[in-house]
Amino acid sequence: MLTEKTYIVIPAHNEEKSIKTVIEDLQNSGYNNIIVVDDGSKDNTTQIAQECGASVLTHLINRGQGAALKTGTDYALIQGADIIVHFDADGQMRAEDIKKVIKPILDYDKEVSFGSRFIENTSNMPVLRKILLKLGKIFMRVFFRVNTTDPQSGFRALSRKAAQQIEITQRGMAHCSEILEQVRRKKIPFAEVPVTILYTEYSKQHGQNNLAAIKIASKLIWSKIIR
Amino acid sequence: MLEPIQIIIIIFALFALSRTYFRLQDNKISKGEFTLWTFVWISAVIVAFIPQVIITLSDFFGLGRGLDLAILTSIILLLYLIFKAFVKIEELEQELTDLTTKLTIQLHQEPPAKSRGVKR
Repeated sequence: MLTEKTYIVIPAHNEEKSIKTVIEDLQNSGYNNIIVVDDGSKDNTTQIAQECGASVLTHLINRGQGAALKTGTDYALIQGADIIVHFDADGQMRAEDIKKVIKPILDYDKEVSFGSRFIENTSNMPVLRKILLKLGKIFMRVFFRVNTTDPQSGFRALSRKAAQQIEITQRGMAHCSEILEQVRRKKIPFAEVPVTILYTEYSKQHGQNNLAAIKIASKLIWSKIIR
Repeated sequence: MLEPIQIIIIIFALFALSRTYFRLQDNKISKGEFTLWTFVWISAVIVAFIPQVIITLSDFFGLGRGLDLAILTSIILLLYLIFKAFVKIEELEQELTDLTTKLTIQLHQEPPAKSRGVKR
């Protein structure tokens, strides 16, 4: 397996409680190129991630998940990554799913692969979240002509070529939609793969709250107006 | 005979006009911005001197009172300025993010001399 040239990029903001388990799970699954981008945390995320053996890049100020992903992706490219996987720090994603997510790039000549919660519906997703994500899907289809099963999924893998083509400019959570839109516009071949996202009490508290949906939509529209 | 409010508006507008001119000389604003602001302040002086102008203009635009036109114009101007400010903030945010990204990678690759070899 190409785990040697596969880099896992984990944006982390105040994730000292979960980061250790996340990194250890990845290492146990054979992934050793782990880049944690500490997005200006106020807790011990950096120290813990370093002790676990991850490469830790620290933003001096908080710039948002999209910005942290950009830093991590740029750094992975400098390190010579062939495949870059975007992974969450709150323990929602399963390291064992990475194999599935990178498969389309390794075996089927795809450049990007998105993890989707809605292909097999194995995630224990709260009902309200499900409704919001469905609405988000409609929004993306109408305004950005993006038609995938889970446009707000943050679990994805990019080939080196795709990572060089895609420019993440959305600092916050709107990067999911932004990447999808660029994939469509630049006609980058992609695949969707079923993944399981674990909604634990911790991740629910720590992840996006449901109001974030409105913020993401307004950011996307705003960026259309001024850029 | 000028009313005190007219004198105040004229003095303020002339002061603002001089500031606009000096800011252009210092290259702090573009020629376009200079033209816009000069227009705004000269209009203010004209309106203060000859308030009749605003009534004629209001009639022309179909607004009842002179004051309505003045308020409407101010609101449009303010909205435009807020939009400009938002765009500027967005640009700055983007620059700050680019800076953070580049600096983070640079610091990771070559830690500053003092902290070299020291576990951070």
